[in-house]
Amino acid sequence: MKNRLKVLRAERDWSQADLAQRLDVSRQSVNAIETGKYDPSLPLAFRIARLFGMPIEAVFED
Amino acid sequence: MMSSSHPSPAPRKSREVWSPAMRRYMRRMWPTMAVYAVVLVGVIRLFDTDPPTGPLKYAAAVAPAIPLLVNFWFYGRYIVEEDDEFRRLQIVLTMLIGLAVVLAVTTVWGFLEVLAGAPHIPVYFVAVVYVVAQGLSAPLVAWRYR
Repeated sequence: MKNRLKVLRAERDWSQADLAQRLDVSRQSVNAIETGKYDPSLPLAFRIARLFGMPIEAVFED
Repeated sequence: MMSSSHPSPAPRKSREVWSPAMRRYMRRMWPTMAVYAVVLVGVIRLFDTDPPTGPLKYAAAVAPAIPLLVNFWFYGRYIVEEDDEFRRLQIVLTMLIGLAVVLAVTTVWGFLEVLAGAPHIPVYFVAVVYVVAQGLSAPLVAWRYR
């Protein structure tokens, strides 16, 4: 699944570790989601969207 | 003057190599393995010097397995308590690889033993093969998701 995580993160000048801390997940999780190797669960996807103040479909696209 | 152009929530403590659930598992696992080592040495010594008979024989023979069973249960607790879903997926993948290797090795060895006269291996080596295979698969799984 494609997503705009890397762009959204760069806009806020956050490292993968910064985003991981804000989501309370491991940095490896952020990396795997960002590179499309791992699709987050619906609850985590909602947490990501809320963190960026966006609807979920503005962050993830199928 | 302090300006807050980034009104995002303050970062909580970072999660590095060991997750809190993994650290809890380690704290439970090492004392259990210490008990296992002590019980194992004691039981081996008992069977060497004064082999028990009757029901005591069975109780003594099973004794070293008990701390290991407790440890298997702790590992199950770890999976349940690991709240990083990606890490949980990776752990479960290593468990599946461990299971696959155990099934492959024991199936092949079983036929070798029955048909080709290969030496018999005690059944508890199933757990040894599983643990080693799972451990070796961890870097493989990490590499797959790097």
